[in-house]
Amino acid sequence: MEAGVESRDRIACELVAESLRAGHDVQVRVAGSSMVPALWPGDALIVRAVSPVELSRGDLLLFARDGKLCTHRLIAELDDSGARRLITRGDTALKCDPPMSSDQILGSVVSVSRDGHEVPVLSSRRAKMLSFGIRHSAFLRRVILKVHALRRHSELLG
Amino acid sequence: MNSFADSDSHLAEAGAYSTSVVIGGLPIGIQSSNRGFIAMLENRYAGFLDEPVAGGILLDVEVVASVSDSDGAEEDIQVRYADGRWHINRGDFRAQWDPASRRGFVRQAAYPYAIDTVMRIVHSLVLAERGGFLVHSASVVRNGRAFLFSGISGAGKTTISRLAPADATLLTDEISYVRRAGDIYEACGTPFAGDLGKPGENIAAPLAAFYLLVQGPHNHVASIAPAQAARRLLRNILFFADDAGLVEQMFRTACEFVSRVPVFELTFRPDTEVWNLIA
Repeated sequence: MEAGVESRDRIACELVAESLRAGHDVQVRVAGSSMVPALWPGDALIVRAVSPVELSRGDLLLFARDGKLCTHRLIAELDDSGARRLITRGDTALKCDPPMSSDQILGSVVSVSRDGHEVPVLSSRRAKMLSFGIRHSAFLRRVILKVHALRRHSELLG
Repeated sequence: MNSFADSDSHLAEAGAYSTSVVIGGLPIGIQSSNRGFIAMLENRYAGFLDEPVAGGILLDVEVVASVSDSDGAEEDIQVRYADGRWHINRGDFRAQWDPASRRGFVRQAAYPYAIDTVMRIVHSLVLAERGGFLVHSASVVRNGRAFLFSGISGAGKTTISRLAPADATLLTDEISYVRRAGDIYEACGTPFAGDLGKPGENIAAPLAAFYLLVQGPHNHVASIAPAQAARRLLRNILFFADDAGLVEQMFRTACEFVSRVPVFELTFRPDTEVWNLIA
């Protein structure tokens, strides 16, 4: 990666964190596929700062990792010698993220927009099955992302 | 408001007189049936004129007595994208620009401020797509390197320009043109003058530093953390479009810019000594 690009991402992370701490909602754009089918590349997320006591399993949380913004699902909470640790994971990821303290969480996703329309965050059994399939098949991931990209392209062309 | 179908009917007569204004290497052709209007533009943008370029951006200007009851220049400008083109409206003009065909239409009275604004907006839209921007700042070239001095009205853009040494070249004392050139940024001269009342030189130079101006009792330069620099830069960028995609692009551009160009806060008092801190 270019040094400037890495630095640019870190600066963006700082600005987003600063805005959320100041009480502003922030819109971020999904770039990866780790949360398919709940979130697709190109989706716009509205993120809001959240109090640690409000967090609950299943929430989509925004945090910074290696200088980049990341949105994954909260799947568990641990008590580490009295310290609360949060466990997050991408729906299609094989491994959980390293445990985090609640002050590392920048905010929680409050709405998702796809192609200009607000959509519900999928957490149905069917969505979970699809995530499971993608998690264990790189081929299925490629096919689904390709189909999604083609569908979006045809919708944009009307 | 004129539709593009309407504007097409004006082309034959609108093409009677034309000129081409080149800023930042981007020519914008302007044509009108009003000879005096074109002559006025050629006088205003002298030093930034060139022959019209085939296939380049072209604005057809219909000069009318007035667009609305008020002169409207103080009204907020509206810039939105709909039906494949940008709609740029203010009380004193109505304009549309189609980025695909690169053609546009402006209806305005016979003074330069409206077309001046339309050109700034078209440039800001084109620059945004290319990772550049227009910013409220003075810019000066010295020893082959460009320095930008940014701030709101009254921050000292014209003052710092006036204090520049004799071997410095003014690019603008009001609106700076910043374009991406590979891994670097360049500042280009613009004809957009502030209180100095003098257009800049039509040249470009690699950008060496970006200064945020603060007037104070002593001359002092301080580094600024990149995130703070990006936030303050964003406040001063000229950006009018009500378009989420371009807002995201501008956010990325500001972060990228401050990761590549040194940004400082320059506290200064109005004397020439301040230039010893700059270059």
